[in-house]
Amino acid sequence: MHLLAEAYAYAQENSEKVLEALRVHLTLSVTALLIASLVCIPLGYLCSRNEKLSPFIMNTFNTLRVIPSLAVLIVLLPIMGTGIAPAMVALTVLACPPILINTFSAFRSIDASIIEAARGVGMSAGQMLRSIELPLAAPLIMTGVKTAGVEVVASATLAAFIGGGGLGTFIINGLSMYDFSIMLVGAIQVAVIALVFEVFFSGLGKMAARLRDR
Amino acid sequence: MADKKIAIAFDRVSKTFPGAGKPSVRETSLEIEEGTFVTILGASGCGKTTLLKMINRIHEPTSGMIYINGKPFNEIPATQLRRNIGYVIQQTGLFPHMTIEKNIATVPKILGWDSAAIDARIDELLEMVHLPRDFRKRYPRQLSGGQQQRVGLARALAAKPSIMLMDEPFGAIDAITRSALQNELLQIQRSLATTILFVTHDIEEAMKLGDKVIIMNEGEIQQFDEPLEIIMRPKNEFVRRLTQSTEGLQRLSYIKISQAALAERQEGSSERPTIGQDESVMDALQSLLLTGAKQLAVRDANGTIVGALGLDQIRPYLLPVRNEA
Repeated sequence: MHLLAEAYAYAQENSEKVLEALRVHLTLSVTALLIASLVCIPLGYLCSRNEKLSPFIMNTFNTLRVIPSLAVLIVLLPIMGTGIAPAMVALTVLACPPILINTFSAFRSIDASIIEAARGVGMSAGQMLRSIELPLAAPLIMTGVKTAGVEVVASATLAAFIGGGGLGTFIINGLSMYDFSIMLVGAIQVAVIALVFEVFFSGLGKMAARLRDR
Repeated sequence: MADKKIAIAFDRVSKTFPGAGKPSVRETSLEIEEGTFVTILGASGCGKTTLLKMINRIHEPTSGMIYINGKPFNEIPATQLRRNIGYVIQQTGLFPHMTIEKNIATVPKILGWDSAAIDARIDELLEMVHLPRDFRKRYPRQLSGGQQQRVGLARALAAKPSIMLMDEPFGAIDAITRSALQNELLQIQRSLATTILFVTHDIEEAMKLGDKVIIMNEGEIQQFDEPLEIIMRPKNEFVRRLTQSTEGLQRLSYIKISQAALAERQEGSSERPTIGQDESVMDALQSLLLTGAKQLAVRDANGTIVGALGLDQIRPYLLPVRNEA
């Protein structure tokens, strides 16, 4: 409890710094998640429809998934230098695999007979995507975005290592000064944001599922 | 019959799937008259489904030409063509995230009908396929298999297509429900005069439903004839074996009373048991044996007595059949 009180006091004293770090952390996470979604949802759809394209892309991203985010950050350092840009790139790369893989399997798991019936009644490709495929795939896609979101929020902490800012700054500062209360300021906020992301996207996924299965 | 228009014509159509050694459908030519109920019968892999699905361009022919109502099939965009052809498949293919009414309204909506017309049409269709109106707001998974296929049928009929394609629609449905659905489909087809192509591997179903039956094997049409012709005058050994595979009595269940040669109606026969003409000769035989009557009075769909049927009329169908060729 003592530590918590100290952390609280530190946060109050440095409220401007804390808010700035929170803002950077959220901007980093949300932007990375957004870019990854905009790239990977269409890409996942394309892969699910293209037998030639899918093995190559899916394998590439499955491999990416194995590489730890810290390693990606360090590899980017000599290429992009320090700051927010390499952090953003690393987080985006990190967010891609779960979104891509889930989108791919979401579209693949739609029953072939439903697709055939939709073609058979004379829907155009656009009509099929809008009124059949997307609604049926949405819940599983949202699960992918959720997984990516939680991973990104946690990993954005590492951005501080390469001068990208964010809540990780407090954790690094606290570590170097051996001050656990400063570390807590960062850690608690990261945990809370991760939880909020989890709850928010779970809710979105459930809403999509309810729209689908009503 | 001669002045009837041709709804679907195949002109030397072949289809070979990529990577397949043999064609699924081989050099097939065929003409189907408007308003006919045609069943396509064959074992799995004989090309019957491929033949069907080339009509609405789910599969594209490798060579040859198909004419739909006189027009070359590839002159109409595939989506537009499909909107005018009803399509029912075995797995129903209902859209699981849409209510029954939305499922049924799919094609009219695409065609831009106004919502009042769509609404009235949904009620009309639900009645036609014998589903209660309060099913409108339900979802497909809340319905039994038979009910789901009724919705599938309603969806296919929604925009009043002149042609319907049905791919083993009752294949996954229990025998009792299937028989009811068959009778209802016959009734609907008679009242709307829709041209129906119906794929099945069940010989009894093919003979019961089809005005004409296509028998397929190895991608080729073996015989395209009325059911009685197929049974009594098989064109080749394959057809003969298919229809005679079991004992002679079995044949009777493939012959509809309406196709059989009936006796003249006899006087003073009002107390004879009656039978509908869509029933099979086998049903008639059973009824004769059970009631001990000498003859049955045959009713048509309106209940009018059209003739009489006794053992003398049944006997010819039990005589051995030889190949035409």
